[in-house]
Amino acid sequence: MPNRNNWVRRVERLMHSFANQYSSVYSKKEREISASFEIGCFISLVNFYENRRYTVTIENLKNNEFKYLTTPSGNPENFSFVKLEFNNKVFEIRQQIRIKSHLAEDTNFTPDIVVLKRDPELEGIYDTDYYQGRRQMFYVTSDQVIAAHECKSLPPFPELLISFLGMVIAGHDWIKNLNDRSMVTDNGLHLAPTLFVGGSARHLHLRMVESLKNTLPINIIVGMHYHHWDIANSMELTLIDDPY
Amino acid sequence: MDQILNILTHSLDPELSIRIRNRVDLMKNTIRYMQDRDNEKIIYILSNNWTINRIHIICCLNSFYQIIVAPLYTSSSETESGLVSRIPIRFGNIINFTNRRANMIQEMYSEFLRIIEELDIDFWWLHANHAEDLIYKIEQYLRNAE
Repeated sequence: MPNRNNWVRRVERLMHSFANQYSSVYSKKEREISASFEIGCFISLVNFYENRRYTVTIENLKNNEFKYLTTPSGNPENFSFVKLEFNNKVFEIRQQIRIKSHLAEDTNFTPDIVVLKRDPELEGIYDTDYYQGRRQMFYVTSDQVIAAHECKSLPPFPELLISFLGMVIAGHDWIKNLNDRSMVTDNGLHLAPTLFVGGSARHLHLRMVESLKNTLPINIIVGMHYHHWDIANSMELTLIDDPY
Repeated sequence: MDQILNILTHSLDPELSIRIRNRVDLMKNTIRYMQDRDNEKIIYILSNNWTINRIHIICCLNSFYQIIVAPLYTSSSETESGLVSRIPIRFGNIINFTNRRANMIQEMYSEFLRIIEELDIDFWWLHANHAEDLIYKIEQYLRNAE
């Protein structure tokens, strides 16, 4: 067993060298760290569709860049998105689009990533309770949502998993009740509504994840920090047909 | 342990530095609580020529990995359709996910893991979310090595 003090000195020396060489790479603002995880999930989702032989095109580039919508207050028409085509069916992957829920009036929320029907109606209205009526509030209705996905760079604690279920029921008009797995199929076109979680799970929580996934039309993918982002090939996923 | 924490957090955004330090403190407090109650796993670990300081150092590296390294690494991939590799992703006004950024992050990630391996630290210790999980993983590792 190595001398204790020598080991500590080795750690200090190696970390000092690491910091000297790479601090410019990892010293980011907190906003960029959280954005990094969301971008990773987004890339992983696009890879999923590419692996399933969709034709994937990047649309509405700005200055040859993908302009990523980072807040629901932006006009989606001014931002880039991903178009998916398969067997004459067309869908879109967008980010930070507010969903107007079918559950109740004035019920809106914004998932991180959403897969929508072809040519979705992205509406904008003026509301006196929104920026005092000075800006449009953009949204898409829940009957245009194929799947809303959420990204959390956190450990998968139970309350996180349960709160995601609220998003599922509020954001998908085609899900009439949470036990409705009528759209779930082995050869489904789409990834079911998915919670991407960065942290790994304790065994007890893994059982909860597995149980929810087998009961409801959803995915909960944990351990994204080490899954190498190959969600299409590395595990069993809940897939759904086109609900529309 | 404080020296290592200082080295790793020296150049970080203050909010991130505080998050890491708070996480390490929480883990240390939990370990102290376990030790005060003569937790069998900690007793076993310490009987294998480990020290509490060594466990604390693992907590530092675990926290740095969870809060900084892993989230950055997750954004360093690309798509066949060209996102990141040919088409940068512009996130707001100041964050640009480019091929160059991705390559640098992957190099940083590889080097961090190489150092971890050189220090005889198991990769899965970095993924423990709580101190109890970390103690469990270390104990299991040492038992399997017997």
